[in-house]
Amino acid sequence: MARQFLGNRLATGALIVLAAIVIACAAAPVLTSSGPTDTSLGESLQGPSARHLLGTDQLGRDLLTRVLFGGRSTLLHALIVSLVAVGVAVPLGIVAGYVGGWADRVIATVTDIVMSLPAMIVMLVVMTAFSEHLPVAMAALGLILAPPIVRNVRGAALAVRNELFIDAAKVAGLSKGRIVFRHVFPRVLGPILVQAALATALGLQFAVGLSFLGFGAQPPSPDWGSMISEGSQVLNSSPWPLLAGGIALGLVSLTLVLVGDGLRDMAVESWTGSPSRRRRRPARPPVMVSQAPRSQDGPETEKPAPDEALLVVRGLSVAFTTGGTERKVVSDLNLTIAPGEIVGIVGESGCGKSSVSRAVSRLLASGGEIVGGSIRFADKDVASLKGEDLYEYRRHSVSYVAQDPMTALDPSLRVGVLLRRIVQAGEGLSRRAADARVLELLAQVQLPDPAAVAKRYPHELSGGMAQRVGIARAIATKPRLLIADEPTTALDVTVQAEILGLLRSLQQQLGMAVLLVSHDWGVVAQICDRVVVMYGGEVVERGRLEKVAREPAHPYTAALLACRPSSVVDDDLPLPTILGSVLSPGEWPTGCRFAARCTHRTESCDAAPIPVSAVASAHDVRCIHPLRDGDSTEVTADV
Amino acid sequence: MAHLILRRLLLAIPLLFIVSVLTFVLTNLGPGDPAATILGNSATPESIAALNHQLGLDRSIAVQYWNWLHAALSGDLGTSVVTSQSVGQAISQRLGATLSLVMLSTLVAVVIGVGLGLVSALRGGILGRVTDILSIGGYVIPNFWLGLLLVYFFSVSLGWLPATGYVSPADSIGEWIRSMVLPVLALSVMGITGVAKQTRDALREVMSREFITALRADGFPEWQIILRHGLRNAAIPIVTVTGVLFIGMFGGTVLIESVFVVPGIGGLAVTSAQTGDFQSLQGVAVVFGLVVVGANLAVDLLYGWFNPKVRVQ
Repeated sequence: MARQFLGNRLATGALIVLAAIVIACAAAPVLTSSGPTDTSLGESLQGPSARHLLGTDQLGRDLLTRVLFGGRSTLLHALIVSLVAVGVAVPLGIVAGYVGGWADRVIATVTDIVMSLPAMIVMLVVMTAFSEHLPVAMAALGLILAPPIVRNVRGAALAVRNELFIDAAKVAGLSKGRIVFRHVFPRVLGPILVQAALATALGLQFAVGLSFLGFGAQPPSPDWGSMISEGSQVLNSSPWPLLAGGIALGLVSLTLVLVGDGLRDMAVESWTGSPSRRRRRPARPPVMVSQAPRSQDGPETEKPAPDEALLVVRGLSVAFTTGGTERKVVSDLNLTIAPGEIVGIVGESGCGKSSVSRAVSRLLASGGEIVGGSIRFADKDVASLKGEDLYEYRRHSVSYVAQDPMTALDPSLRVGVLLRRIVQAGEGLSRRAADARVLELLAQVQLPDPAAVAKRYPHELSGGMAQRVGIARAIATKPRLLIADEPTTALDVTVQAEILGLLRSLQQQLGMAVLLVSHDWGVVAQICDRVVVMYGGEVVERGRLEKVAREPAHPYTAALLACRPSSVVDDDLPLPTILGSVLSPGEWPTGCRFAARCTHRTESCDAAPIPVSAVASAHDVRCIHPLRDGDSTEVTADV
Repeated sequence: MAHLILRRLLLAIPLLFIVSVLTFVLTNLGPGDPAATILGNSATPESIAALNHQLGLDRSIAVQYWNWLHAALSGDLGTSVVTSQSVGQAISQRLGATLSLVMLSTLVAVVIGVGLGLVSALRGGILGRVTDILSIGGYVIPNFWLGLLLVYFFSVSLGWLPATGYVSPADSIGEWIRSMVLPVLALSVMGITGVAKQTRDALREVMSREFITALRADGFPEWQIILRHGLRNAAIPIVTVTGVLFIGMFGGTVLIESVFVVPGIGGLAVTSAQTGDFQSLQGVAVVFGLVVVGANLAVDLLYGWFNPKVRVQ
């Protein structure tokens, strides 16, 4: 831990400066040639000079000497504040967090009340009683400043309590006291040190402020507050007395805050094992969006011809950049959708299917970028859309149904208000006409009481209702392509079928195309015309649904099909699964990306990238050993 | 919501009770004898005892507190032994100056802070780091010292603005603004950076949520999403920090009013503490307690306004 702290140069530097100031103040009688109260009227209110490094005050007293001597009482007072605050707060915080129950509630109520006290006024009152006993007053200040530390330590102790190794210690028969001392305390030490540094800074500010008001060192002996106060009296003649006390105060506060920050970073690092500061990602050169598509993804033998297609994706590559490294999640992907067609993308999680749908709707999460290929929608070059053109594209061309319908709704808006805004933005309707259209939409997605639903907030909807609202929202501006990314995954099975049925009937009513993304063959099989199977960021098979489902050519497709619960005839056998797991982006091999999990693997599979070839009309596969009829039962399934 | 407000009000009672008892006990613990103060040098032990009896100061603290509480509940905060002025009157004369100082400072802090936080959340980079550094500065530089620096630059050196004094807006709006510029600046700097940091963090968190992506999918322009949906959903932490700030600024007036000689209740508290005017100090403490209660209540109501879930529960 100490090494990590020393690695933070700013915090280390601050600690050194702080230590130097403290030592200089402590050693003031040795370091200075004159006393703090030695006057020299001939040298009144001078600026800095070799003789007086910070200048002199009205009585010609050396300001540096007074800062050093004044620091003794000021810093001591700040230390008392901090020690009392931390000393009181740590046991209370550990009890509240570790013991919990009624002790936690009592402590919480007391801290609530103390935090609500007007601290400065209470301190003025305290000062009237203890102006002769400043250390007592400072101890009282420590009590007032303790509650935030209690909360902080409580949080840390609670986290430790919830961890397993404490349970293990309990089993091992350690007493509660020893658990706290040996396991809890060391772990909350980090936050305590941070809080101690900040409490000292805060105590310092209060102590100086009170002394500025006259509740501190009495003339002629100095402290920083009284020096600032004296400085304010002579401001018309010289700023130096004001600056001397203030700079000393600011410097010590600054070093304390920086040390506190350093301790916090250190604590974060040693607990999460990751540096808390991420390297900024370098700026990326502009994407060549209209470059000629490479042809690795094959000829696309299927209909429709690109010129009548609604969406034509060629050679699409998508990459995410995190922590300075770029990982490709989709590579060289081709996809065509005709008007009114329903196309499904199937694959396990992590195969890149959502990135495709997000790239097409230009909704890639931050860090995600289209790094190659082209996306054409009707006559638009989608990847290069900007500003109003992009908004217009999202408004009228594609719409998006999200996976979790609830989190896709603005939690602070009534459903009707959100839909009204969408309708108004899209169609330019009056408020009244838009409201009527909203009710029409809600009825169209078969919600039983549209007027009541429009008045609800998202958290008042069930999952199924929320997804119906999500679909109403998607069709509000009559899009030509609706993209649904796992639209039923978050829903109950019974609701799933209803939502799919609704999507299908709306598609027929409105004549829009649908791109459905799912990990679930069952969902895709229910409504899709064509299907695209993805693995490791690329298309491995595509064709008409019946063909691909009945005669899968790629071992991965066959394995996916075999894993459907409905494909297992004998109930007594366990469900098959595909051995191994999806490769993480960036781990892709040169050859076939599925090879590691495939039972048909040969040496040539790993030699070179596998091209896409046609197995039949409108049926492509990326495999050099495509399955023939009868092969499909002998899959990589782990039965 | 009703539950939340009820809890607030229930907490307010012990809070006001503690503030008043604490003030009462501590001021009685302190050195100094009000009767002796009033009678001055001519006092004899007999005359002091007689006056103490007349003022009710020879009874036990509990009885004195009970009498004070009884009167305070009917709106009578007593009379200052030092100035012979009614405490309630003294406070109401000075409340306007303090309120205009604190409200203006809060307004400045929120407007500039939210704007700064907004820009640094969206543009990040340099502005974000500047906000970070300024927020450390706001923590490190005490506002009264900053106030004195401002006086040195803008009043002593440049002569642009008055160093001290307060002009009521009833007398002259222009002079009132001129007299408020420096104190408001000194008091709001810490608030600006606090609000900016909170706005930035909250807005960044909200803008990464799923419903923002969904709004983008709807085709709303980015600025509209930020202003109509992002800020609204980021409002709760901003309101929280503003409430804390408002209370902190009220406390800050104690020092700022002394620096700029603003005749407000913060300054009254300081003079009362310095002169042993315990009745006034007690009254100011109660007013501060009420301010805390009121600010917390306002924050709770705003929570309900911004978050429908709170309203229902």
